[in-house]
Amino acid sequence: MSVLTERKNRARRHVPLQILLALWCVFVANAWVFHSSIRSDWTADGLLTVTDSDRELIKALTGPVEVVIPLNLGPEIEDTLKTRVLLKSARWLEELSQVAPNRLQRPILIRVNQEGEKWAAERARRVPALEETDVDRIHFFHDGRRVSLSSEELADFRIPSALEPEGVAEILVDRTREGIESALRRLIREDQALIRISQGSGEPGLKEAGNNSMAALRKDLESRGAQVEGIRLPFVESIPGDTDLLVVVAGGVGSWEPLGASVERSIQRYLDAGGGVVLLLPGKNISGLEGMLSRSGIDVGPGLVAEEIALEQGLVRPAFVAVGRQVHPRHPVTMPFLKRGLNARFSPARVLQLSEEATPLLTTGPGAWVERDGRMAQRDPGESPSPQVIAAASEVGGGRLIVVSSWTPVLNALWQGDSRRFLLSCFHWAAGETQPLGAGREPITRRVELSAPFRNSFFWTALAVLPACAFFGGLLVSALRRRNA
Amino acid sequence: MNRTLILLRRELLSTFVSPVSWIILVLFLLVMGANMYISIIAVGGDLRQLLSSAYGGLVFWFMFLVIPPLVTMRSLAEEHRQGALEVLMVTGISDASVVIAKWAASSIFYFTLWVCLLPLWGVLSLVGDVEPGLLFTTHVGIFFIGSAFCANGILASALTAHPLAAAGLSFTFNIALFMVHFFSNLFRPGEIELLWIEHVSAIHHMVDELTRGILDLRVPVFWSTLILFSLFLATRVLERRRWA
Repeated sequence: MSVLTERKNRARRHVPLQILLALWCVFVANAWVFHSSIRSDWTADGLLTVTDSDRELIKALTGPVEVVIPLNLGPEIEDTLKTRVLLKSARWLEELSQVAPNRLQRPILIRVNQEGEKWAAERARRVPALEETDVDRIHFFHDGRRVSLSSEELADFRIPSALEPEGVAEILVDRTREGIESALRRLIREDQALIRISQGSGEPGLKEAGNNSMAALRKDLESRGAQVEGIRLPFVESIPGDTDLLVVVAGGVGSWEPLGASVERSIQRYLDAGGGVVLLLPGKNISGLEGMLSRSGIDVGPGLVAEEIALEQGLVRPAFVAVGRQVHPRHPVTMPFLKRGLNARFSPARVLQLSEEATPLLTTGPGAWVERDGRMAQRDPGESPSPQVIAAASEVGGGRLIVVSSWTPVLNALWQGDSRRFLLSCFHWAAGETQPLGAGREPITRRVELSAPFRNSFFWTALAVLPACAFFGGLLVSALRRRNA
Repeated sequence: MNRTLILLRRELLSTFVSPVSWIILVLFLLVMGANMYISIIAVGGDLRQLLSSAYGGLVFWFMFLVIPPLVTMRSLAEEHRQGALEVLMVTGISDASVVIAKWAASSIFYFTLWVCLLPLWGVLSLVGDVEPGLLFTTHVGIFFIGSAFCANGILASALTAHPLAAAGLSFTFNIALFMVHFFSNLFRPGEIELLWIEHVSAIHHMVDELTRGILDLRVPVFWSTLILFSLFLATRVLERRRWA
């Protein structure tokens, strides 16, 4: 046998072995990465970033949580927005399930109008049973229990009425992450946080529609898994012991009566017993709780905070508005805002003067001043601008107290933006939670306006300019090639 | 290594001076430009959705699956038919160098096609807030998955001496990889089989992860191992020819 033939035979024997070895290497590399993969979120706003708190929550789930999302929404713009929110929630649940797929399973998405049989089978399989009308909701199943979320609990929508044809339908506040977090907490924990909000002294109501109510605040808190009730402070002897958080709204759209000495005593007792209180100050009057505040290291100064507010075309105008920009770097309430900054507006806002017992949470920029007459926002020579404290926290006895310089952000029309985010974080800390609560976010608009000039220019760029550039590039190369040849 | 680079340079030069490449580029820009225009109208100007729609729709997958076989079909098959491959082999260049250079040249050309679409995103960034992170992850996916499809094309081109047969074979490999995703309908969420299907599914990688800004280590690892495996097989095939 020649050397060549011997080599050929040896190669024939070796090649299958080499291929098998290569296949084994491919399998091992993929099996390793399958079990220990690293994921990173490249979205600008960290939309799909799984935080440490999310991981802890998923790991705290005691058994498999199954998620079913039956969709049957119509073609209307309202339905489109709701579908978008539900699909976004499904996407977020998929991301969460990556943390521990055996504890939180990937959502089962069923398009009811297309997959009727699958929907029927799913309904028959589930305990507690799903009804035919349980569509367009997210259903969580765990240990014989079910928690359901509707799109309204996951976001606030603005749908233009028939009278405003130029209005744009949009998602005002997106709470998908918070809503899902709350639903998962409800699945593993029976008890809900009980939040009582002051009523009966002229405060806005908790259930009425319209701008002069706190219904949006109530809905927001309930969607996070809290139970919200009103409490008529002048008529109770003491704050009920099961209250996790007392929110005192010291203001109203009509007349508001300052709280009496008995209310102050009952709040003080509640705080001493370890309760949490958030006090939202009135614009003009006294709140009636000044003595208690002073003992906690917080004094309410005279006058209102004023700032120069930027208008269009580079103009500025002084106004009774305090814009909270600087936050405390280490306090649990403000730590979530350190990276992305804050621009929380309060109007009208009182100024807080603090002693050592209290911690400033939120301070205005250096351009704010205190307008002592409270009539017109016009800085006099004696009123020098400097950062003004507009929210402070103090630990009283075993309890937690937060004072915010304005009550108006809790109104439906103003319950949005950074002031809402800041207040939700205040509520969370005062209620005794150590993990800062995500406070929902206004979706960042990444939409271009499809005006006629834009459509035209994009059309010609996409279909003519770019291909033409490539065409002439080709001609140029061809000409150069010929010249060189 | 040096020889591989010289060969790669030669391949790139011949690719970029070839009129066929420029015709492919013009047609690609026409089709994908129209796709972008229709997509932006369909999603109402939402740039996040535009990315998922333009880089995850039917037109995208058609271009993504069809172009690699066209780019790679002549690389080894044509040279083998004309006898140029044998000439190359006797110059002392190894089989692996030839395969790597051919694959790298076709992958670079293929990726260049997609990069040529970026000026459209530049136009959009003048009027809207384009997220560079999402564009980056999407192009990472295009690079890895496209390179793997090109590696399949090189393998197919090594297996046959006829360019058209190579294109057909390569398209079959790619479509088989593409179709794996649809097996996911057979399993329920949470099942390990489903997770493995998603691990190898190009649709899942592009549509569910990369165009949404999620970069998972599984994507580069899976597609890189697939590239290496295909190139390894292509090298073995060339070697077998040498001994035949």
